[in-house]
Amino acid sequence: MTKSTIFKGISAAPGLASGLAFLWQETDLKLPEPYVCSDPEAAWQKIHAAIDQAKQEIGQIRLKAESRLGKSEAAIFDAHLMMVEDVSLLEMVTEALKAGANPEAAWNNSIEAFAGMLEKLSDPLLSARAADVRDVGGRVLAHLLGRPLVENTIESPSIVIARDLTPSQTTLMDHSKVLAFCTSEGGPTSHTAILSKALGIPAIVAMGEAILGISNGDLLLVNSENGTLTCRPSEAQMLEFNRRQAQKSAQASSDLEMAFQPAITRDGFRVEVVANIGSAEDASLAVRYGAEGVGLFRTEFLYLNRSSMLVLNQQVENYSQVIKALQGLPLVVRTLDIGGDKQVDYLGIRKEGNPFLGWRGIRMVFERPEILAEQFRALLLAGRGTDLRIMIPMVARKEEVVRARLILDETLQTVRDEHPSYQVRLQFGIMIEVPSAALIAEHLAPLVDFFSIGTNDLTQYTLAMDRMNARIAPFATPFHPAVLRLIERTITVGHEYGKWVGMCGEFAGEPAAIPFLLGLELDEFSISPASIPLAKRIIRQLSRKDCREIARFALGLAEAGEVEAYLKSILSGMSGLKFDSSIGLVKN
Amino acid sequence: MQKVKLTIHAEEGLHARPAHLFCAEAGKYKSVVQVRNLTTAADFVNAKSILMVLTLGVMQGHVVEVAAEGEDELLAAENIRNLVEGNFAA
Repeated sequence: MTKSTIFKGISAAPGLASGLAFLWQETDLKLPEPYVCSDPEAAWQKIHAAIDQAKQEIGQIRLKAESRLGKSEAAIFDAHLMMVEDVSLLEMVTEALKAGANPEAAWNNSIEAFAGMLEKLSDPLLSARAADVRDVGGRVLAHLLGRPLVENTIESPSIVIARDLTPSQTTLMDHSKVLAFCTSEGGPTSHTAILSKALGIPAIVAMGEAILGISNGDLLLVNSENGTLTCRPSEAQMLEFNRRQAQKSAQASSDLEMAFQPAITRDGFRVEVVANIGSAEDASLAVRYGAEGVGLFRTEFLYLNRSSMLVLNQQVENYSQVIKALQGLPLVVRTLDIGGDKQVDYLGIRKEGNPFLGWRGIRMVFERPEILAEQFRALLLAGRGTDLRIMIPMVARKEEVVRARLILDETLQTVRDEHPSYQVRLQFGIMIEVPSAALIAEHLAPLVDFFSIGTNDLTQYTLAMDRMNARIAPFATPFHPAVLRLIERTITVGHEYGKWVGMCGEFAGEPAAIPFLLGLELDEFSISPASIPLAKRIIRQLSRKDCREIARFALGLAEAGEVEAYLKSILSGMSGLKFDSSIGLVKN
Repeated sequence: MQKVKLTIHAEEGLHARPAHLFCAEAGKYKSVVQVRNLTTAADFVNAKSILMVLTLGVMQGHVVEVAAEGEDELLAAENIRNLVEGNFAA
């Protein structure tokens, strides 16, 4: 290949990369011509010896994986060790040998039979196990054929070109030397794709056989924004690519640099930009992206995948880890919100026909008050001496708020009785995500310290549209004027009663929505950690005075499409700010 | 013959680590241990074979039935139940 060539595939992990090609060498595992094996016992001995050698190798890989990547990454090789001497697999191999097959064919056909069965399973996680079976099978086959597996050592940072990579290959390679992955086979759920996402390096998969014709050392440009790989680029292609890469990285790094400064509008109003999280790791990530706190900490993970309630000490420990990771920044915790799309016996949550309209969130408090009391207690113990804000989800009626507040006050009193020096800066809030709560906000405001608007649910409940239903999902948009009016009402009423109002749905991180929300004087934007730098930049380029006009105009429109087009035009018209859909819309 | 019905709570279903632990436990007993997926109405397979257990496609929330037959069937059924109900927290 002397001229530049462009290959296309499916983007599996985002990003841009340029560098030299490293062509992944495969061991030739072609089977010998079928031959008749007269002595099944000797054939069996041969397979047995190959399995033993494979077991030793897997054991070594397991050790390496554990020391380099940790116990959980190494666990898959326990499964490999089990697969290589699986009783059902060996039964099938023995049958084939008895029927006169040669050992190579007997082994390979049995492996393929199991890989084929797994591939057919509908769950992508399970069907991906076929790759593990073939990984193990190839290792044994290499020994049967007397052809040791080729060692691929990447010497300098390169773009790896391969047919597909097995789990053991992706685990063992030196990740610091990989600039990008391009594979001829594989899909968006292949091991290569999963690894790339975890490492944050670009990957393109399903590029076709032709990429295997690329030579080692060829200069490559990988652009997984449009799924293209350019081999031996022209000077013009290089320039264009470098320009795009420089632009992206400069924007991202200047945003990140500025992310630690507060978000103050041009006319001097400061808003809080905080993060939505689900774990202590997310909390650390949020701090690194410049979050000024957490506006939504989802706690469902403490309750799922269990058959009984986590003991109090462990609950406290989990919350303490998040508080510690936040280094003194304020934390808003949302209490349990699991519904009948899952079955959780010990909480009394059963499968329901209409789980998003069912027994969930704060509605559980009348039948099972002890669950909420226990969670309050754990939070109060973990949050001792901190700025702790607790909010309850799915509020539809005033009684729910009254009851929850009563339980919180009682729990706080008990904790104080037990720990005489106990102190906490505690706030109690509610999620506004059911239209009825927005419509009776003046009756709820006196009972709380803050409101937090959950736009994802507010949208689906206001429009009666399931956002998980692909046929109607495009219409289930928070830009619908009815949703906007409920947002406006919630903020206005909250402020009348002197309460602060935040938003923790995806809408708060949507660049086009920011001018609208600033105009309504939203106090707190809670968004996914990675969206924080961009959101802060947009806020700094706006003035609240202008945004009030923008919000008023948007509220007068009749259709979601009109609102969205109008707000996007505002954004792209701002000086020095181009609306970039590829980096602008970060979903959480 | 000892039979026990169990709900799989593990998020990843019965594959990867849970499948490995499940088969390792079944492999400890002299009894013949079989398992089937009641949710998908699949047939019984050898519970000591990780490959066969994976083919059952057991996902979170599925109910499986374990059947043990042999001299240590009581112990096998009891310990497999404890493993699954303890959500594989070995």
